[in-house]
Amino acid sequence: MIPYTLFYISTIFAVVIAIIALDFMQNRFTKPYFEDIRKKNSIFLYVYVFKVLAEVAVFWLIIAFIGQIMMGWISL
Amino acid sequence: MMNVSVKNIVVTGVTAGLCLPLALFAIILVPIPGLPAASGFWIPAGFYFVMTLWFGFWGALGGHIATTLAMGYFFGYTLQIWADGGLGDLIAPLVCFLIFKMTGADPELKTKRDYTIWVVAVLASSLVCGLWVHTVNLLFGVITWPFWWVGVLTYFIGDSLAVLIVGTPLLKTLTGYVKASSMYVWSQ
Repeated sequence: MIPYTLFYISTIFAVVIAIIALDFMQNRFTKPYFEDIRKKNSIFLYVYVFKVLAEVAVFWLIIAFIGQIMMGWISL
Repeated sequence: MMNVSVKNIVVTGVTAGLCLPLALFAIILVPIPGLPAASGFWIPAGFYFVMTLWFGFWGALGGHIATTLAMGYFFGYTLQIWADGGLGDLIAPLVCFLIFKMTGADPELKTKRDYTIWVVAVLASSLVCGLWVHTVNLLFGVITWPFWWVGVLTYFIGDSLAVLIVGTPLLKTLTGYVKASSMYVWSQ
């Protein structure tokens, strides 16, 4: 039986990774329109770049969390 | 005289905001065979190096603020260790930026030359940072001579690996977009 906390956190991580993957797929569809939107509103560029950076940061936080469990810093 | 605009402050704030949770939680120790201490795989460095190559000093300042604040969480650390590590994290990306500036390399890493300069710049800046942090630690009596070279070497390996693994895909995929920004330092 998987401990409840581990199960809960793993589910959150799985959903977050799914959201990131879906967002990357969505970006592929919207890529042809990127320049048009950016020309209409320059803030869009910063929103896009900072959002991707935040997604990558979450991804690394998940890797670090798993790494810290393996190192014995965190126990569940 | 350096002009400070709202955009500069926003870039510093966003960099600090991105790097703070990473500086608090995203560190993994990587054991190095033959060395008595492990290297810290310092993930936030990958982010503030990239932000510095895009936005100059303001990206480095954001990384510095984040790492200095994050070290405050570890209550056993003295102000000297906060300042030492935090300043090291300000110096390292600026050294990398300076090397790019001197060589005229493109942060989008379009050519083999750009890649080579990126790798050399990361290695050089991590070494400078490692030397700074551990020499200051030595002078303040935090570490002793026999551990100095181990500290410098583990710092150099851990920081370099993290910046190259985390930062390279960010530069490769996002620089093309950032180039359209008026804040992209190389277009000014």
